[in-house]
Amino acid sequence: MSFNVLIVDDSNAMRSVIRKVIQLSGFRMDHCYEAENGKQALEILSDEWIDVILSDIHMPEMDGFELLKAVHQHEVFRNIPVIVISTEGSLDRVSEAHALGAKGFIKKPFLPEELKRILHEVIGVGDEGEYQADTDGCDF
Amino acid sequence: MRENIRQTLTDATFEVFEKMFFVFLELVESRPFQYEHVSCIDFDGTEKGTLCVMMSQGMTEMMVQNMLGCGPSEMTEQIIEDCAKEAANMVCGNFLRKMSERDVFDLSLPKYAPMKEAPALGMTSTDSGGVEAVFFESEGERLQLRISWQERRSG
Repeated sequence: MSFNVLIVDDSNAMRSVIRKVIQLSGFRMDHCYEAENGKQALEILSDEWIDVILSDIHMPEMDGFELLKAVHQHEVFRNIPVIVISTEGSLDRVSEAHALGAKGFIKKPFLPEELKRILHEVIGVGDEGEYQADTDGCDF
Repeated sequence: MRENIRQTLTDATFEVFEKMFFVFLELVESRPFQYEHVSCIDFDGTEKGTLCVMMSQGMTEMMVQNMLGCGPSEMTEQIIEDCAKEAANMVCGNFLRKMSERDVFDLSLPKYAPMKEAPALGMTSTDSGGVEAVFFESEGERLQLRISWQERRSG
């Protein structure tokens, strides 16, 4: 079984890094969708089947907390696990994210192993080694 | 206080550059250097201020290459800008967490400019705060972190 992932971050560089880490982690990813902010993420969620969301907090237009609220309040989207990946890691921010329904919180900078571990914890898959991504070169 | 800020900024920079950019820095003494890229981010909470990351061309190329796997011919201004902004964002967030995990700070969106287009950057000392700078080198390439801060006045 493959999974569809939605990465939400206003930084192209960070989206690229997260995508590569997921690909290299053995996680079987079918499609990887990307959004620059919460608003774009909600548009993608309306059109595509998404299995897991990885979202930054600090973004223009619609930030990660607003996205979490919208996802949590939606009848269908609320079942999609959200993992927050952010530089903002104060105890209050982490608690707020969990209160809004986040299933995991990763503080930047992070090691690839941390993202892999949280993905395993949240969706309980990976490491089957079936996904062979082309990770050569710059796919920014 | 100032020594604590310098040490915490140094620790945060080491951590971010090793984990995200795979660049292993060495702390060096201050000396005149013409940096080519700068990214800055403002923070506001129990204290407010600005953190800036200044990089030589070779340092930005190392960061982009290591973080994204881009060869020199694939590097665009947009990619360099994105990496520079992410560096400021991560160092600032990491620095503030190390200073106090209990305090909540609001961070601005990071800004970037080639050094020649960013002359002032608002890095000035104030009566209730100051400016600290820390200098690094890796493989002959230079990096400087500057932080200005001002304590919030209550009432």
